[in-house]
Amino acid sequence: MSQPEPGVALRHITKTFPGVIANDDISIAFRKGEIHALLGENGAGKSTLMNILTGIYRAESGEIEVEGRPVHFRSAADAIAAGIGMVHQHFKLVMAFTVAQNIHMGWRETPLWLSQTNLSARTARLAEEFGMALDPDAIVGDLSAGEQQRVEIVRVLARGARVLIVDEPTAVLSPAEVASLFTALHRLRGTGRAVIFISHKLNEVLDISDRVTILRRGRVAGTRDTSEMDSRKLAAMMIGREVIFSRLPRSTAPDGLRREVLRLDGVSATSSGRRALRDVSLSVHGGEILGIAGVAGNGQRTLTEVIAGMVPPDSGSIHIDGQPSAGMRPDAVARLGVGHIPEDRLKSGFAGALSIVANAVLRSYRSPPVSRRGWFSATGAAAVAGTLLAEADVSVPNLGIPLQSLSGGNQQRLIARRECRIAQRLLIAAYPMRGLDVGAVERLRAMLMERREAGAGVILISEEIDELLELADRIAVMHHGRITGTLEISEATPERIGLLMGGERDRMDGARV
Amino acid sequence: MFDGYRLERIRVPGARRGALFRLIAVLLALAVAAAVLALLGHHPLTMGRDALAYTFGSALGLQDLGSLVAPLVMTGLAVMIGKRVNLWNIGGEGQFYMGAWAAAGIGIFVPGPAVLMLPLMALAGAAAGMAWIVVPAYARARANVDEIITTLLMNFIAVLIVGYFATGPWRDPGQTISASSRPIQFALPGLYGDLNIGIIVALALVVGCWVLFTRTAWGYEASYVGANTDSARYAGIPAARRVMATLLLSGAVAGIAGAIEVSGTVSRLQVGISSQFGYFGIVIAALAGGSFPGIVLAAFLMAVLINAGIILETQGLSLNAVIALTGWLLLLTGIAGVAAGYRLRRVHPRTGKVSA
Repeated sequence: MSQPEPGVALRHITKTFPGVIANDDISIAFRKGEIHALLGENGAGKSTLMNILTGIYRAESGEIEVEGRPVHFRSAADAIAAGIGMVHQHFKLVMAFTVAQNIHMGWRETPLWLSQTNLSARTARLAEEFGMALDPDAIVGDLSAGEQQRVEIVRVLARGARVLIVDEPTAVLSPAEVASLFTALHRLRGTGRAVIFISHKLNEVLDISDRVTILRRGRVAGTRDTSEMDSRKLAAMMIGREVIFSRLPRSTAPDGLRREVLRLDGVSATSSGRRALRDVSLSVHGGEILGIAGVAGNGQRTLTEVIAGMVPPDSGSIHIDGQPSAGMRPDAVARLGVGHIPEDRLKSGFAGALSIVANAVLRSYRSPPVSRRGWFSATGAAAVAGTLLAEADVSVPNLGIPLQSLSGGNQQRLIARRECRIAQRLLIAAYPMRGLDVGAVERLRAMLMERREAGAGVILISEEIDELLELADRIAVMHHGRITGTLEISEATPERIGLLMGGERDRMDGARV
Repeated sequence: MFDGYRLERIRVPGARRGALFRLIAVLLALAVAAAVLALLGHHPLTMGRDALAYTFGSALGLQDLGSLVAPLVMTGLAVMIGKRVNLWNIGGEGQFYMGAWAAAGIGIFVPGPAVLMLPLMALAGAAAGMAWIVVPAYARARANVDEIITTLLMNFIAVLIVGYFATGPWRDPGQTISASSRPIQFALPGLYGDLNIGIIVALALVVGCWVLFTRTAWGYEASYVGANTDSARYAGIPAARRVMATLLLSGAVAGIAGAIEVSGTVSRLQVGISSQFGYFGIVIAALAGGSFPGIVLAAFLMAVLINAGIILETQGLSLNAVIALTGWLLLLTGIAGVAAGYRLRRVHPRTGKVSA
C-alpha cells in the first residue's frame, strides 16, 4: 500500500446529545482495499459515528469525503447512493420472506413487474458476483445467523456499496461461520472496497484488520497498523490505562464460610418439551467459583433456571444452604440469598420501558424499605435505586427515565450489581461477560471476585475456556444435559475441557461433582 | 418540500410533551370537524358556541354533563386498567351492558331496602362485568390468545342478550315503546337535580385504582408483568395471575358503570343502554395517556362533545357525527403519541449544521 487511495474520510466530526459529547472532533481515513477495525468500549461513540457515516444522524460540525469528494447526507438513502452500506448487528430482514425477496425489497433497481423465477435468478447472479453461497428461495427465518448475515451483506453490496460497514458481525456466529465471514471480508478487500469492522473483541481485530482506530470516550485514541499491536496495547488504548487481567488470586475467603451453599442430586428437567437436564449432581461451596464449561445449548440455561426456581425439576433434589428448594418460586429462591444474572439478560433481566427505579427494585420490592405490608413506597424504592446506581457507578439525570434510555453496558452493570446485592449465598452468572467491552469485563470480574471473597458461591457459565481457567476454582463441563466431568483448576487444561465438551466422560471422576 | 428539515428521535420524551401533543390532536380533530360542518353548510362556530352556552350556562346542561361524565370516567378507567398490563380491553361496551343487565335483574325482581339493594346491584354489575371478560382474560393469560379480538366479539353477544331481555321476558307490558324493561325499584341518591352520586362512585374508583397501581406491591407487579412478561417470570412474579386479576378488575369497573347507569340515570334496562360508552372509553384512555387524573379530564372533554352532539340534534346534526369525531380523535391521538417521540430540526443545507 504505497499510495493508499482514500475510500471515505471523516474530518473533524463532532456530535453531541443533550449532556453528552458522543463524537468529539473525530478524523479517520478509511482506505480502499483495507479492512479497518473500529475498536472501542460500549459508549465510546462507535455507533454514533457510524450513524453519521450512514446518514442517520447529522454531525454538528465536520465533513465527510467519499473518494475525495465532500458529501452531505440528508438521509440514509443519500449515504447508500454514495456507496456506503452497513450490515447491522441486528439484521434488518423480513423473516417470513425469501432470500430473493429480502434482497430486492426497497431497492430502486428492482423491476416493477418481476416473476419469482426472475427474482431468484437475479439473486443467484448477485450471490455469485459477490462470492456468497445463498439459496435465493430459502425463507430467511429458516436460515442460520451466518446465512442471514450473508443475505444482509449481499443486499448491501447489491446496492453498490464501495464502503462496507459491519457492526459486531461475529456476535451471533459460530466459530466456523466466523471463519467463513472472515474469508468473505478478505475477498471484498481484494475487490478494492473499504471494509469497516466494528468490534470490541481484541482477538478478532488483531486477526482480521489491516489497520485499527481506537475510540475512547468519543475521541480518537489513535489509528495504528494492526501488525504493530497486540491485545495488551489495544486494551490499554481502549480504556486509557493498563488493564489488570492477569490470573486472579484464588479465593481467600475464610474457611468458616466454606460450607456447601448449593447441592443438586440427580436433577433432571425438561425445557420446551425436551429433556434438557439429565441426572445432574453438583455442589458449590461458599468462597468458590464453579465454572460451567460447554458449548452453549447443552443444558446450561435449564440448569440456571432450575436452580433459580424458574423451572421445576422433573426429578432429583436441590438444596440451597441446606434447605430443599425444588419447587420454590424464583422470588423465594432469591430470598434464600441467590442472585441470578440470566443468559438473555436484556430480554428477561429488565423491563426496559419501565423506570430505572422499577427495575432496580425488582428483587427487593417485597420488603422494606420498598414495601411494607403490601404498600409500595416510592421514596423507599428511589432510595434503593439510588444506592444501586451509586454502587454500580452509573450516573443518570433522573431515576424516572425508562431503563432502556441507558446504554447497553450500563444496563448490564445495573443488573449485575442488583443480583450481586442479593447473592448472599449463591450467584448464578450465565455468560455475564458476553457483549461487554474490556473495561466492563474487568469490573464484572471484580464483582464476581468480591462475591467469592464475601463467602458466597458463584456459578459462572461461559463458553470461553480461557475465562474459566482464569476465574474458576473448579470447572464442570456440560454436554447434552449431563455433566461429563469436573476438574480442579490445578488439573484443568484446555485439552481436557475440550474433550469433555465433546461428550467424553472423564474417566477419573465420573459425573459426581 | 421538507428539504432543510429532518426528524430526530427524542431519547426520552417527557410526559408533558406527550400531553401537549395529545392536546394538539384534540384541537386538530375539532378543527377538522368544524371544517366538515362548514362544508355541509353549517356554521360550526355558532353551533359550538350555542352548545357550550347551553351546557355550561344552564343548570340542566350541567346536570346532563355530570350524568355523562360518570359512565365515561368508568369505561375510560376500565380500558386504562387493562393497559397497565399492556392489554386492550375493547369489551367495555359488553361489560357495561352485562353490568346493567345484572343490576337491572336484581333491581326489578328482588325486594329489599334500597340501602342494601343498591350496593348489591353494583356488586352484581361488577360480577357480570367480570364474567364477561373472564374467558378472554383466561385465554390471554394461559394461551396468549389476542384479547382485542375476544373482548370485542363478546360485546355483540352482550348487546343481543340485553336486547332479548329488555324486549322479551323483562318487557314492561304497560310500555308502548317496546325497547325497555319494567322499571327498577331503586334509584341512586341524587346530588343535585338529575345528577346522582354515580359521579362520586366513578371518582372514588379512579382514586382507588390509582392507589392500587401506584402505591401497592401488587400494582408494581401488575405493571411489571405488563412491561415484560419474561422478566416477570424471571423474578417470580406470577404473571398469568396478575394478568387475570387486572383484566377482571377492568371488567368489573365497566360492569359497575352499567349498574350505575340503570340504577341512576336510566332506571330501566333498555336496548341502547350504553350509548357507546364502552367504545368512548377507549378514546378516553388513549387521551389520558396512562395518567389517572387524565382519565377524569378526558372523560370530561368527551362528555362535553357528546352533550354538544345531543344538543345539536335539534339543529339537524346526528349524534353519529360525534361518534365519527371521536374516531378521528382516536386516530390523531395515536399519531400524536408517536409524533411526541420526534422533533423537527432545521438543517442548514450548506454546512450540514443543525439547529433546533
